Amino acid sequence: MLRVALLSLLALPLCSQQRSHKAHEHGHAKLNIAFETTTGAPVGSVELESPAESIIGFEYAAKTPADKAKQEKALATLKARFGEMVVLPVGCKMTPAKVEVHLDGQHAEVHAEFNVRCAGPIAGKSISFGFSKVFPKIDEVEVQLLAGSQQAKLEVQKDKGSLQIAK
Amino acid sequence: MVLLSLAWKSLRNRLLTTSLTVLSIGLSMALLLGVENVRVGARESFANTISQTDLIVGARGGSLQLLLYSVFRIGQATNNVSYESYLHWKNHPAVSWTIPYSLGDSHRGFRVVGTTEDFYQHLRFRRDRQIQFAAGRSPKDVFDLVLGADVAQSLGYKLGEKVVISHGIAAGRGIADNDHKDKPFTVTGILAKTSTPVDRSLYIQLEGITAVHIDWADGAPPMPGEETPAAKITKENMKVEQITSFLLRCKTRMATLQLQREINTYPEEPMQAIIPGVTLQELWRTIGYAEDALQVVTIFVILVGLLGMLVSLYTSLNERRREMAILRAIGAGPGKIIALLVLESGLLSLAGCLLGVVMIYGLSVIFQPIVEQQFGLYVPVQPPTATGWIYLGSVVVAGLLIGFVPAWKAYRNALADGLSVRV
Repeated sequence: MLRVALLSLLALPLCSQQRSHKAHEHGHAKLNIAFETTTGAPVGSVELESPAESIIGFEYAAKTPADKAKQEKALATLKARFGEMVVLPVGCKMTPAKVEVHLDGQHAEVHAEFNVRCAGPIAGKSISFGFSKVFPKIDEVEVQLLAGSQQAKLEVQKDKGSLQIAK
Repeated sequence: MVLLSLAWKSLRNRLLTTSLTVLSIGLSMALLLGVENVRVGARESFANTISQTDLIVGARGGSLQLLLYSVFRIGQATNNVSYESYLHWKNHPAVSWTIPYSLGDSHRGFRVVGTTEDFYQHLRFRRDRQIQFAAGRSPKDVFDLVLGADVAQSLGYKLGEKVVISHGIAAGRGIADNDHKDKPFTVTGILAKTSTPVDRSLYIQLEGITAVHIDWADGAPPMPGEETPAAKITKENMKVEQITSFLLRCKTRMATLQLQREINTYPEEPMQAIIPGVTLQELWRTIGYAEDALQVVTIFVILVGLLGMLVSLYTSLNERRREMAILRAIGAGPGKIIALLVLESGLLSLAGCLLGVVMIYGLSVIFQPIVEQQFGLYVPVQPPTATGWIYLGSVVVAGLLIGFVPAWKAYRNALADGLSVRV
């Protein structure tokens, strides 16, 4: 009896970890944009978190060569065409830092990070979007922007709307 | 010019109707501008309350709720955060500073906030303003207490005064049984006015919150005689176990987003981190519907005012049959008659708008301190906003357009109409 109790105690932390899950909604991605400053030559980062289904088309670990190829191709497209998905002010250049797939229980997420360098000030300029042009399954993106002292949020549906960087 | 003076004299001739019409347009205009002022004022006030804070962290729950109780002292937390987790994030390499808050007690309707020296050092409002002391210093000992400016003013407390805080945040006087009577605090400082919710709280050390609850068990105060005497309590032997939430500043903005994700997925304790500006934006979007409804109501009020003007001008035409006939007899063409009436109605709406602006200025000056005191809402006395000017312009234009209705009637009336006697 004691052994059973001890075993169940051991199992407890494992269980509690498994019970916590992030919200996961297909077609709904999250984009975070951060700039340290908006004047001078700003540097920043952009990160995208999207259900893998919306980008790759499936959410299981790619095992067959066909699936692997599909995944590679989708991630390559993401890297190559990210500038069309997030249109930063002219003069800002994004370089991929990390693009990977995270498996979480029955779901998988694509996590992409890009570093940004801008040639000139971006204050007063705007950021627009074109997610569904590249990945038609992304309908809605929750965008958070931190730029200098500005903190803003925008729900982008079907690429509509733009975010203005504060002056 | 002749027309203008004619219109002016004709309006002056009917002084009572004219002034009533102007008053009704003025009142509705004041209402419209007032609603706009309060809307802008509320947004600015809220946005100015917190600056330079990257994240607000608390127990997992609604993001809006976390913002409201941590910054605006509205509502309360459903769960607390362990002090251990707080220390973990405070010592995180990406973190520049943190301000912990422990809420839940009150004094005569004002909330008591347990915090640390960081609050006085790091809290910023209106972009870069820091907390200042009007008198005294920050609390150093367990039973030291600092008053917000409004608290000091409305309760009339001075430095050195003894203050007993109450358990819970019931409005008015705390429930007598729940007073922490055995452990009074001494006022060591009074904060300078900030015009933010900071003014309406009392501040003690985190250890002070622990000290007043030390002998409490199962939510009830200790039996008389069983309390740990205040003399035995020192800052060193008080162990803080939990706090309600904390504000956090990161070293870089890029780290903020990363840290937010780390906190939200912290496996040790369910916590959430929100970006205050973003959550505030969510709040405005929610309140936006109510604001829109209010705006629609005020626009209808303006319409009623303008309709009133139309009615008064239209009915006055009956009395002015003779006047119109004489004007036409001495050579005023139909165009002149139309222009005269349109000008009259334009003048009325312009006067109404001016009266509205004057009224809203006057009311703002009178009520600004009262609103600030009561609601902590700083409504600025300022010239109309861009939207305000648009409203004013559209009402004057609408007034001119409405003038065409009586003008059309006067134009249609036969020349002989005013000269013949109606039977």
